[in-house]
Amino acid sequence: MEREALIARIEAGMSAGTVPCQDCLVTWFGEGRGHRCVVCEEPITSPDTEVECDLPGGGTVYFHNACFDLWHAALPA
Amino acid sequence: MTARPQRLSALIVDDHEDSRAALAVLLQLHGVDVRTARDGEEAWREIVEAPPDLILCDLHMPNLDGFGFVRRLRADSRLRGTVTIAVSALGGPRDLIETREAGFDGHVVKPISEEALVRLLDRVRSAGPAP
Repeated sequence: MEREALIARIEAGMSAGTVPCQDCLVTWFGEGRGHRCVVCEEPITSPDTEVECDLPGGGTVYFHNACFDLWHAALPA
Repeated sequence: MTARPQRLSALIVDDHEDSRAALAVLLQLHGVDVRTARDGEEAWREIVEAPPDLILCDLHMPNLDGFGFVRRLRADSRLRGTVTIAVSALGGPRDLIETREAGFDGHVVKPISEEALVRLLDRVRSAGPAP
């Protein structure tokens, strides 16, 4: 998916509440295990890196590397 | 993934004495056996002797910094499976890319909240990244 399309999905997801607006409590890096990326909704498979985000108050979401970097840069300061 | 023992051991690597002490107390309150080191070189001597279940490592330290330390650890087949978390006051997008690319298993912004520590320890106890 193109960068611009991913950014648009992040903005729309944050507005709709389907993409988190809070930074991770703990961020984990590992090999993809098939979880669905919260941004692009595609599975994260090996050998892609999976970024796992433990959210404040509970819950965990998963990102592709590139999706995570765009999401993290879009978080409110 | 391999389940780890309930009684975890951790190594705190930080050049700030107050940061080491505060995190050590918090970990001990959660039943973790704690050792400390002031930089990457000191940490390396500690883990070669007895690898812990978890390493919580600051990034900017004298002698051997956190990036150099984790690269050395990942290059050693005996130690590369040790769960190693970057603990840093810096948590911006560029900072997380750097810790990920250096080989850390995760990143936590300090000071570590109790909620973050509990989540982290639960994860390491139950599974943790594959050794």
